[in-house]
Amino acid sequence: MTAPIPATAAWREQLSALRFLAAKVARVHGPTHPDAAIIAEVVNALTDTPAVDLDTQAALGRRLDELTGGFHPWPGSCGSVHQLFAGLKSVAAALSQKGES
Amino acid sequence: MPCADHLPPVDLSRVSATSILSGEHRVILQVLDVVEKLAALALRDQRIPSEHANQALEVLTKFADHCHHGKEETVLFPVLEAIQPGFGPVQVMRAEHVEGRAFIRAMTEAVAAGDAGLYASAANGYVDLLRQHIHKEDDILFRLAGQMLTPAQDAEILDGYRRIEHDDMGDGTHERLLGIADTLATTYGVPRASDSQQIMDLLTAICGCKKD
Repeated sequence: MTAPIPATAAWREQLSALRFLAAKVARVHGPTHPDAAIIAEVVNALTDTPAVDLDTQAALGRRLDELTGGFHPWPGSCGSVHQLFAGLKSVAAALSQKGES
Repeated sequence: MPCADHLPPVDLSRVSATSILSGEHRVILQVLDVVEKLAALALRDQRIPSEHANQALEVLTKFADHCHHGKEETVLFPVLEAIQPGFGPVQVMRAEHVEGRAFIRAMTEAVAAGDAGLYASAANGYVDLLRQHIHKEDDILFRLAGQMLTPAQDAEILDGYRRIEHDDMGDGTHERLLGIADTLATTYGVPRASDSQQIMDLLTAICGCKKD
């Protein structure tokens, strides 16, 4: 029997909020951090990935880990970047749990 | 005064005092579509989908009223009234905001009491009011404002919006509420305003957070 996906609704809501934060960070920090636009695209893709597609979700989570250098905010970055990276770290951890369940 | 039909439309392709608000209107209209569906469900089942109704109320209270109407009432409208004392359209908009708050209170009380009929009645009243209100602002008030405001006043107003989003609401609150609005839209099959890149750009245009 497949284990239930944990807290899917709350996780989706968090991801929806991060989509806006990632778009803002990409707009503001894109010129100095080109990866910011890619991060926003990956978050967009993750938001639109069906909840049951665990493989795609896990791959996108790993990609976010790579793009953010292990979710460490860029030196001297603003509060929005810190919030975004902390949120993505929590989402990636949830994805990892989903993959294991 | 020229006919409203001959006024230039609100320019959503650039960030301005009025285009930011028109972008937010698209999200509020999205939530109103959800609320309309919640009201229909409440009437059909004689039971309020309370979790989603409360989420919609949180977006309407904090995003539509506190943040969006706050930007209008404390930043944009005072500038317009200083340019043209007694500016009629602003007085009408302020009165409609007050009317909207009464509907929100009624919806909140109905959810707490589990009164499906009262919820549907208040929700439908609010939806009708806000749709017409948004239409008036986008098509009349904001077009007039676009003609009245100088670039310096426009920039001053944008600074005011920044203060509301970051000093008043707190970093991340705006995005959290937009996230709830989109999750509700997805749940109820309502199109997301943020799927338009133009609207997404406007919704994420205000960034005044400070470096740590």
